[in-house]
Amino acid sequence: MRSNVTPASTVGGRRASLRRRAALVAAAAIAVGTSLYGLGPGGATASSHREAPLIAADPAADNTDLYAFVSPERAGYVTFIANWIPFEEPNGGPNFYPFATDARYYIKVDNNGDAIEDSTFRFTFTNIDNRGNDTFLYNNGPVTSLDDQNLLFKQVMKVESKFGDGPWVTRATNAPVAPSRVGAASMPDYQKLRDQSVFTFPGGWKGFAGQADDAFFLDLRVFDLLYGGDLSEVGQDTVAGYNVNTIALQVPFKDVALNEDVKRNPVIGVWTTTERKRVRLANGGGSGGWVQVSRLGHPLVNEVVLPAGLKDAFNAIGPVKDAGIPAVVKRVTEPEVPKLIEAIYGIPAPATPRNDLVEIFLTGITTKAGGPIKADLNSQLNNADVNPRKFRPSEMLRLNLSVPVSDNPNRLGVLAGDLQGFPNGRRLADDVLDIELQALEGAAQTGKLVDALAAGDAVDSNDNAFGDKFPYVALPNAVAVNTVGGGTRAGSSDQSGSTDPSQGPATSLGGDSDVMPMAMTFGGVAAGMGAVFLTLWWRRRRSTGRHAKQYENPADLTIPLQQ
Amino acid sequence: MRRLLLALVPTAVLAVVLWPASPASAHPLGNFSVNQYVGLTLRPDRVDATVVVDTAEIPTLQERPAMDASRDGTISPSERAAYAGRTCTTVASALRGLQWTVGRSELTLSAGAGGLEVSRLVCVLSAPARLDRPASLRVDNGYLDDHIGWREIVAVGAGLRIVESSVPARSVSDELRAYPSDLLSSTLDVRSAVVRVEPGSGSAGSAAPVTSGGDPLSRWMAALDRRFTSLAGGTLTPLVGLLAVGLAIVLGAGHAALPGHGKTVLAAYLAGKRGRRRDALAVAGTVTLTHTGGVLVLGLVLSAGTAIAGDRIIAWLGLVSGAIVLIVGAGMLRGVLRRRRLGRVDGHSRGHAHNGHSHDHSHDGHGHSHDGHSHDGHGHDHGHDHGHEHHHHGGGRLGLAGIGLAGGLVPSPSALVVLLAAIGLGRTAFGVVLVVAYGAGMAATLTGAGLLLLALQRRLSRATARGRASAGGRLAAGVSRAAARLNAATPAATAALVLLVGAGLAARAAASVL
Amino acid sequence: MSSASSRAVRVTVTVAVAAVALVLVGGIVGRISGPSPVSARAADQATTVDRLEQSITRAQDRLRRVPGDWRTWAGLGMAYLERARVTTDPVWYAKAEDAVRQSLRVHPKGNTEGLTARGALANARHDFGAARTDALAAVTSNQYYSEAYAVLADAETQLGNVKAATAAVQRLLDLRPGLPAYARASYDLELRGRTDQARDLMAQALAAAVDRYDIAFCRTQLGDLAFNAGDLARADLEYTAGLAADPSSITLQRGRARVAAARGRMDQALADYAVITRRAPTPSHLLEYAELSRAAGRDAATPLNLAAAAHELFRANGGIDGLTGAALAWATGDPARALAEARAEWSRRRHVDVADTLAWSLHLSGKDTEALRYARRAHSSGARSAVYAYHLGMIEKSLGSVEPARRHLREALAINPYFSPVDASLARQALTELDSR
Repeated sequence: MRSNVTPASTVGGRRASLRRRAALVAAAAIAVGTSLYGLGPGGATASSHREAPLIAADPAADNTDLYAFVSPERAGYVTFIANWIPFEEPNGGPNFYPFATDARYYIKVDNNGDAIEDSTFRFTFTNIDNRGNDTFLYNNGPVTSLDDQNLLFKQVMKVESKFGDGPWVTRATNAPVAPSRVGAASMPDYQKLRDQSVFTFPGGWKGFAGQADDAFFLDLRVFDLLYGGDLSEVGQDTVAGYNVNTIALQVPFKDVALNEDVKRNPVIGVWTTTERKRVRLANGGGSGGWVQVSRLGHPLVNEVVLPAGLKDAFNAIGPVKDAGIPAVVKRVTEPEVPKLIEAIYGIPAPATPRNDLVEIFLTGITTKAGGPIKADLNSQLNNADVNPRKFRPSEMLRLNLSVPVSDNPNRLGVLAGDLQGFPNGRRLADDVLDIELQALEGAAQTGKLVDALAAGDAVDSNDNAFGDKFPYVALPNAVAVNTVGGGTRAGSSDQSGSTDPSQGPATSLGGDSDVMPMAMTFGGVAAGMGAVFLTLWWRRRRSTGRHAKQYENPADLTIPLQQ
Repeated sequence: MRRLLLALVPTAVLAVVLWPASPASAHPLGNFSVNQYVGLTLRPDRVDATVVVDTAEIPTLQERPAMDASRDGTISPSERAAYAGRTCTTVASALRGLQWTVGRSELTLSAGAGGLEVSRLVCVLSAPARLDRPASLRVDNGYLDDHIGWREIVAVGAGLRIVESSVPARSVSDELRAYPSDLLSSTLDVRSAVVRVEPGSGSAGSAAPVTSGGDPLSRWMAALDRRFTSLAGGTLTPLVGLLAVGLAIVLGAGHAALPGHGKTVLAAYLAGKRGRRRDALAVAGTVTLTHTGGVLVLGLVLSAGTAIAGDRIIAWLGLVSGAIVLIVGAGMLRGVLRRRRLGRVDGHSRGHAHNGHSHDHSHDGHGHSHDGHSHDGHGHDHGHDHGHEHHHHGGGRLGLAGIGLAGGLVPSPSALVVLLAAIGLGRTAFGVVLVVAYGAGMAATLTGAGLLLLALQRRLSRATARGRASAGGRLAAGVSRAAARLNAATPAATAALVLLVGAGLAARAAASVL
Repeated sequence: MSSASSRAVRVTVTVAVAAVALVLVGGIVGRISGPSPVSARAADQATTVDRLEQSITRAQDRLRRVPGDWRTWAGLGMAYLERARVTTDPVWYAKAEDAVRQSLRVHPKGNTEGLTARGALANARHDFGAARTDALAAVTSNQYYSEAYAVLADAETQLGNVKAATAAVQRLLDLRPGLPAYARASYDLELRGRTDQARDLMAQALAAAVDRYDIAFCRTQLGDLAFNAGDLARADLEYTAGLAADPSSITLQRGRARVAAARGRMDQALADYAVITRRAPTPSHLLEYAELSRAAGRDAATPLNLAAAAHELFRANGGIDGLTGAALAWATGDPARALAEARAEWSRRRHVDVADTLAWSLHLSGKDTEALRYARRAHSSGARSAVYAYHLGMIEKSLGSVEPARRHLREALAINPYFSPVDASLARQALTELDSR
């Protein structure tokens, strides 16, 4: 019989070495374990030094979008729509989302290509606050009109303009601002409040400021590419259901065109900025001018073109400085996103330097700048009265006012042959994300859409329908996004809404059509397992059955014991 | 054995060191906090509440004057009890929504950081309530409103069904014993609960095996469960998929390690039948197959949207499995009695036969059977195995199958949930893969458990043999006698045990069904 | 049997151990980043804006989906840090640290946001040197990133580098004028004695505040500015207005308690402090409670013991705060310990508060000549502080310089006659004594 006992001499030695190893292993385990603990104090905070807030969020100054297009229902007029304060949650009381009263909001137009504004429109706001010190409520009863006593807090807007080197001229004062939509009980007829805040002023100008549905539609998850995402999850409108604060302005062509002559100089460049007062410590905290804190031209430039590191710089400088910052130019000529897309989809990134992107983003599509896209669409260089030597590439949204309004707008804009669309200005329904993705993959240059990206972010239209009259944007949403049933339709800006079914967030739950094949799968698997089990059991039974017969005689059981 | 030790040491040390406790201070949520947990159990005629208040070092220190009524510097048990009673009364009045009376109150003090103490107060409250018809209940916890700390409320129903609840049914902190330390969760601050109930039976809380026990393994499992469910529902990259499958195996192994799945029964059965390795494997395999099949079938049924509530099905399955175990146990007992009656001979029952008594041993019989043991050595085992297998083939196989069926019949809720979640997200195939992997993990553990059990059994019998052979003293003889008695008694005892367990299972399931 | 069965045993045991190990490993993995626990929201939760909560929830949701987003990890760390400041609940510091570490793990190089967040954490830990290093690295990698300048300004201020601090604050004002910038600019001006202008800037910050915690912060600073100038009525107004916005704010409650004490309503003040120290038993609150109790003739031993315990816990957790340590030693009558703490703190940073603390500790240890140097340094920094003047006056009195002592003690009482429940009356006594000479 084999023995388990080992010779004594090796037992001791082996035991000792085993013990040592055990000790080492234990020590290593402890070291690993403790190093995983967080170190550092979690204890009391000493308040012997002041701790001021750190996060410098300034949503009231945060540009989110700019749209510029020829007014479809009013010939000879151009509409600018600029949005601020992203992700406004409906029913976000009690302070809601007023415009900042200590900031200046601008829409700037450059019509001669020198990257300096030639027509500037400035919007400033004042509070009319009847709340006193004992309530934070926005209203103390239903609000049926903008003059209603129940509306305790509202704002008014002043519109000023400046042309060239001329002075600032006040165009409108105390223009009513549409209030934040508090809810159905407080504002049973918000359409009326909206209508009351659209105003006309001298020169045929129209203006509007107030809360509106966020007209942007895209799946922001696309930009998770930068963080290891893979474009696999698309189809959900990230901003659906949220509101923004909108400033809309409609002015005749002559007020923005170079030399007031649209026929000779149809192209304008537009961008929007926000400014705040500059404080000088050397002045003892007195004021010393204004500082630009936010800027926007093309949509998604900060996501698609510039890395966030340049976003802060971009916000702080004007377009005239863009060409002078090599990092900005480099980002356009050697963009990051096509490389990421190549890594995921295998679509070869077009060769750098991407002068086609320079045309789209920095100069406008023109034959006059030596770029690869041979079309004359929207560069100030195509304005007859422009001095090409003074032209500076800069990031701004460029619109050709002479392109006629399209009868069949296509969400893919210029890439689909609809010349009125983005990047020639931007209409509300242009799917800028898909267009920019395609452009990044070279579609503008080749003239062909890239098939693999045809779906883009799979969000092709806004959740709410746009109106067909100024200010076009839909009424603000009234149901909170982050509760059950949120994000529902809010209605268009005028009751005769246009087409487009609302696009709800496309959630990817398995449909009912999956049940039948699923049922079959399960049934099959379960049956298979049952069969296997039964077979095994039955085979065992048969095989032992043979043996059993030999030992039916009890006496036979002694036989194994004698082995 | 030594190798076992070597293998176990690092895992044991790691387990101790990486315990889910807060790194620098003993109190998991900082030294200022007063954490509160309210566990509501809604019954048709009343609501029971278990309130746990977990106080950190500084607030405990601040309360010392109130605790130490006699001002003698120590807090005696009676002072603790008095303080607990007083505080629970305050808690009861701060728990708005019902009129609470204090049942039990208990305060424990334990060591915290910096040489200070932390305290844990448990109050068991009860309030009458008419919940025998559809009703809605709201409870607000206003105790120590202005203190910072974790606040949690949990609500389960017993004897009625919860239609909708603003709070979960299970504590994520295991009643303030283990706080989830995941980076992406904020501290819970739930101060009120709104629950809608209606009459019914088989609420989710009672039938599911609740793993909110004190033991660490259950807590790990709970954390794993959560992780697993999120993996099944999250982004599916190959790495995530592999990780999910790996986790499924681990989960299955872990769940098989927890009480349930008939391991007691398996152990008893193997002990009683002197099973061999193949038996252990067979039972484990049967359990796994049944379990996997059960989950898949049940998942199919539930996801196809039948009107039968999941928890009721589980309750019925529990009843069926209890019944099966009962039958198997009865069969075993009948086998034992029959063997005795007929004087069947195998290595152990020879002793029985000689005495002819129901007493398992006399000295002679003892010696006789042991001689038989020592004489045979290996041969004994082989022959014994043979004898077993051949002898019990008919009843044995059926018994094994029965045990396996019973053990696997009640599907683990977590496996079911994962499958349903995967189906719900359109990942049916993945869900099936996960369930199969789960079953593989279960099989591994059960096989291991069974093999371990067998090995221990053999060691025990060998040890008793050696004990006799090494000319030991009276102590050794006594031990071997006891062991032999145990060995001989085991078949009947285990048959009885199986019966009891089966009866228990069936009774428990019946209680929740009815 | 033995070889086969022993092998079987080994196999079994190996399997069992492997299973256990796998479970443990899986548990650890599951522990590190699992899904969030269920958070139930009551049906009628107040609809006041809590942007901090919103941004935290949004960041958490995003990071669950895109765990590689290092920017959001850093942002989450900063948000947790804000939470810690606002709730005075130390558990958030640990969470903030983990989030920041994660950010730097995912993107170690050129991670401006991560470096800034790590610097902010260092500031919270009072490790101002490390904060400065991180902030400088952050601005090197992106000179337009405003938060980095805020962290840099805080670090330089606390280190006592006045010029560098002012430059950082100005850059912050130029990049992102807003509440954080205005608040720091206000503190900068206050430290230089321009209290009126400091107040104006803080009022500007208040106008820019939307979040109730920001409103509470601004009101606290405005209230403290008024209180430190002896204007009780104004201070009371500010604190009350702040509490209307955020009733849970400890700093506002403390301000109101100090006003009550200054007005002689000791019972009210003590009751308020009892509530404050139950809710936020930090060493400094407990020390103030003890001082107030002593001024009212009540037992100060209990809060002092608690303060000592709290400070011990803080140090056990790795915190360093020599100023609180010195103050604790003063209150418990241990001048030697106070001196050691103050000297150690001075060696770490040259902030004006530290100079003042060192001066007083030296004075209590009898080293008045050396104390005079530091007291003068604190007083001449420009800050209009009754405490600095008082300390200087008492040191000069102890040294026998009657005229300067009289002048400075008068100055202290002129700036703020209520600057301390105990010391104000001591100052008056000393002045009477000096006047009678």
